[in-house]
Amino acid sequence: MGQHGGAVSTAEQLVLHSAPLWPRVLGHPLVNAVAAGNLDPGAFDRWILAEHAFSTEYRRFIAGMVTIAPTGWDAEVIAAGLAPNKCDIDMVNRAALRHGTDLDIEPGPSTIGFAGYLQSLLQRGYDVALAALYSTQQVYFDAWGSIRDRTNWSTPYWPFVDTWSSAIFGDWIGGLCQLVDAAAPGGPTAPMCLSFDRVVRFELQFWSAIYVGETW
Amino acid sequence: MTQGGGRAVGSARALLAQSAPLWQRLTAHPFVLRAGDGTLATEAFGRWLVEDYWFVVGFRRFLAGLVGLAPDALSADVLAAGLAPLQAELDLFRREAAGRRLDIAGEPAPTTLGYTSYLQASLADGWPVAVAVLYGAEKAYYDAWAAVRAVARRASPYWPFIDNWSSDAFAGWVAAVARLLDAAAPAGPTAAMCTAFDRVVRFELRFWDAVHNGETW
Repeated sequence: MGQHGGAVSTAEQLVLHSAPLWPRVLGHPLVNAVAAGNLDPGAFDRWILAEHAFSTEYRRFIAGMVTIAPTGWDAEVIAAGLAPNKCDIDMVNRAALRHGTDLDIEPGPSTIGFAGYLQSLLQRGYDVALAALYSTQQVYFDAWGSIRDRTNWSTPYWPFVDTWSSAIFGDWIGGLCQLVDAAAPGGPTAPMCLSFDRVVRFELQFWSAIYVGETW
Repeated sequence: MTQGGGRAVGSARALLAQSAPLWQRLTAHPFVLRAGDGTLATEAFGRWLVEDYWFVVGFRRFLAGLVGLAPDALSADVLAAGLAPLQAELDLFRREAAGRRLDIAGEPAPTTLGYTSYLQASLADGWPVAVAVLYGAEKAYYDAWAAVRAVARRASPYWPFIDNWSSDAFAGWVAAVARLLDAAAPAGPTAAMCTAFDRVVRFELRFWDAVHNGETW
């Protein structure tokens, strides 16, 4: 059954298509360490740095999506993500200040590659880029939502978990689902499935790079 | 200092100078050295064929986008001339892959996808940055393969690739891109150009690491 009581929606089909990756999302060591409150300080430092670089570039992607949105409704829903994105950047900046993280350090290749992939999709058509936008959000919401109830509120990571598992965040994703369904009412195209899937894999690589560290 | 058969001046030379430590790693990379002396493992060569195929597919999109960004018709002429040789490269990859029963239509490795995505994303940063990115990618390839050209065995299966990317024709193309770069930033490269150029060189090194050692995601 679909989320509206009918056939499986396009957004749901995208998630189903990438279902084999979801156990890796929910069981990722970074997510588990955050839930347990024992994330290595160096990894937290890398997380702040990577999240800052990614969020800054992600804003350009969201803004680019607004420019290629086919209807005023699409543009309105997507643009609503810009203010929370600014809140994310501010939150990461505050964490960097508290943790003494140098945000001027060059981000790693996984961060740059992931952000570059999103930006490159703006040239591949709205529906393909929209599937990727939806993927970035759904992965975050599912991962951090899965540990929300067992994450200690006193850890320095709580603001991150709280933000990306909040009802407000979920509402925005619900809006994106409706856009995805409207963009491809007959179900996702192969390029949409591919961009959705690649984003999940880029996300896993992004987390692994934070957790283990990477150089180039 | 010569580069690509021509003379490096202005911004092109400044970018090379600031990335000099990385350049030593390029020309001494184990993948390049082994391809040069013919001792590259067959598996690594297979990965190279597949990943370089995907690289060129993404690179062609980048180069075509750059033609669209070019500030004048002469610059567009130079860049558009770089598109035709890419078809020959893709044909070469397809032939070689077919002969080795390699699946070239599969999914590219994360480094390849990240690298080509970065190239395409740089188009949004404007002409000077994007042309610095193009120069970094092409110059890295030329210098690496030119460094091993003299010692490479002509009978090696890798020779056609080494020959292609260390040829006078490729050198001429790289030199032409350097001139575009110098004209784009006559007062020297901006910080954004330096960052982008440096990232491309590091992506190139990472690409070779992935090809040489294998990579999954």
